Amino acid sequence: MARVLMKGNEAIAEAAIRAGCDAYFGYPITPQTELLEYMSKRMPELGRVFLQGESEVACINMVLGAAAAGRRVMTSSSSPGVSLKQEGISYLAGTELPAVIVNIMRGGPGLGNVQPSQSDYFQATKGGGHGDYFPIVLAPSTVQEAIDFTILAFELADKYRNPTMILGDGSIGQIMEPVELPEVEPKPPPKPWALTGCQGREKNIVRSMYLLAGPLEARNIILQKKYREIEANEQRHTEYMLEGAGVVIVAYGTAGRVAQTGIKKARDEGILAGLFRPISLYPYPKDALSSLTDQAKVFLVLEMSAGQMLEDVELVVKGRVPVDFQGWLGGRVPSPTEVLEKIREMADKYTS
Amino acid sequence: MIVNKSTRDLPRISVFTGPFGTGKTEVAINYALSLSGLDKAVTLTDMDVVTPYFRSREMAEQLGKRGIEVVAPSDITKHIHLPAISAQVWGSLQREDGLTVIDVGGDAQGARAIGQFKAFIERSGYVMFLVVNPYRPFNATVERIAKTLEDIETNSRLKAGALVSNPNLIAETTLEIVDEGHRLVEHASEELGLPLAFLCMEERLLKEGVEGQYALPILPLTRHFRPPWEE
Repeated sequence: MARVLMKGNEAIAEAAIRAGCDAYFGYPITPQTELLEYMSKRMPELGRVFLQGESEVACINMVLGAAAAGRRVMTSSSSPGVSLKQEGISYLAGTELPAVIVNIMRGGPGLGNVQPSQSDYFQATKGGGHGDYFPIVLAPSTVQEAIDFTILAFELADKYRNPTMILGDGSIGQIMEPVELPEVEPKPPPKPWALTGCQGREKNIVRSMYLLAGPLEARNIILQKKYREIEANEQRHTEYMLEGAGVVIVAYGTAGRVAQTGIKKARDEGILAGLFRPISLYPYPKDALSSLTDQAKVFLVLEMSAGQMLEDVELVVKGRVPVDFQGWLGGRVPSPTEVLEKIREMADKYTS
Repeated sequence: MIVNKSTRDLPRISVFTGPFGTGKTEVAINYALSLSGLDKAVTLTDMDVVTPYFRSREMAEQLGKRGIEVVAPSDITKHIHLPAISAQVWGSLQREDGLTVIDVGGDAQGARAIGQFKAFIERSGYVMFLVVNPYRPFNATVERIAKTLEDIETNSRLKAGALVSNPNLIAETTLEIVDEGHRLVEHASEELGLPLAFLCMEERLLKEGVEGQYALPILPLTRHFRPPWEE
């Protein structure tokens, strides 16, 4: 299929449509509003459900209802709106309902600003609502990846009956790039648990409430077993110029993409630097990162936040190799030159 | 080149509209630059109330150095997303000298911002361009362009005078991509009965002999908005 020019937000919407999204519920907020606008045009044309809810809280609960009915369903927002959705995401996890949630992050905390940011990492990857749970989290760094990971998100959500999040920053949502839109034949698995009317069968119950300690513990043990399975099977990452790299940068999304340009410049100067770019933020790609501790002289974590993924890197590295960090706050995207300067500093300090 | 020496025959106001994401801002900036340094003052008016990033106001300083005055809401709006336009717009539309290039936000929603100025724009004399990029999916068919055109004309209360052909895949654009895309825009121009004003092409593609291949003027484009990872 021929290449076309798409904005990240539109691309995620179109990918969801191709992945067989039956219903979308959303509420506008910059910088993800084009996603909602795109859905508002395309979904009715296809005879599918588009609904702008009265709030983010309403939308996530509509998602829960549609998911319980066995439909492929999505919602999207940006940071403050995703905070509002957290209660519903916890309920989705507790009821084991598949759904896709998109967060195009902006600067925070509070109302913050509309510039690109990565400061919702903790909220996304540690289970931002109440209770012991994890959504699966995928972090695109290009518009093409935004498309591919959205399609994957629907598959993973169904496979594990778990909320799955696309975590992009404002740049991913707003940037326009040439992409290929794949033809997808959505094959959602059978959903015998869905609430589809119980004529001729036992009734299904979808619930997260277990009043007694014993049954709730048993329920949680089942969930935890599922998370261990996800952690064993779904770690994803990509690498760039890691051959011989002593300075190993760990960065995801837009920070990862900027780092890539910085690394190329460093290599041109003869500095052996490379990139480990996590794609799944939950489950964190621990195994592959851990295997780099023999090679790395230093891990340099770069984030558009005060250092959130940094904690996951430290947990994996366990003090075996120094871990350094640089962050950009307030909705600012670093430049490749800033990355290059930091790489030079790391090379001087740890590899000479 | 679009304008050779004299701006005598140009309407005082040029309005750039079109479907969402077809490159109106880059085209408007480059068009304004092509007019600067001739015999008239050039103003670029940012009337985008739709897009949160990559708006002409972000280039105000750079364009100011090249003699183009950018009329846009106050500095703070570089970083917020408000459907606001500057009070100075009235002045830029009512002046009798100089040329004004207006960068309007995408689709019919974006065009709504300009409707209130109909009387001033008509009095000054204007041409409204519809910028088309056939590589934008779902808004490039003749039916879609016709619908967008109708909606933009309704909301802007102005009539489009010509299409601008802007076939591109940004950094992946080649001469073949321009050529293939431009043929689709030519087809749309015939179907819609709207003339084609000019073809946009990145400067890097403008090698010797390219201009001669097309029967219409070419606007050379320099990309002003680049993603943060390009340097």
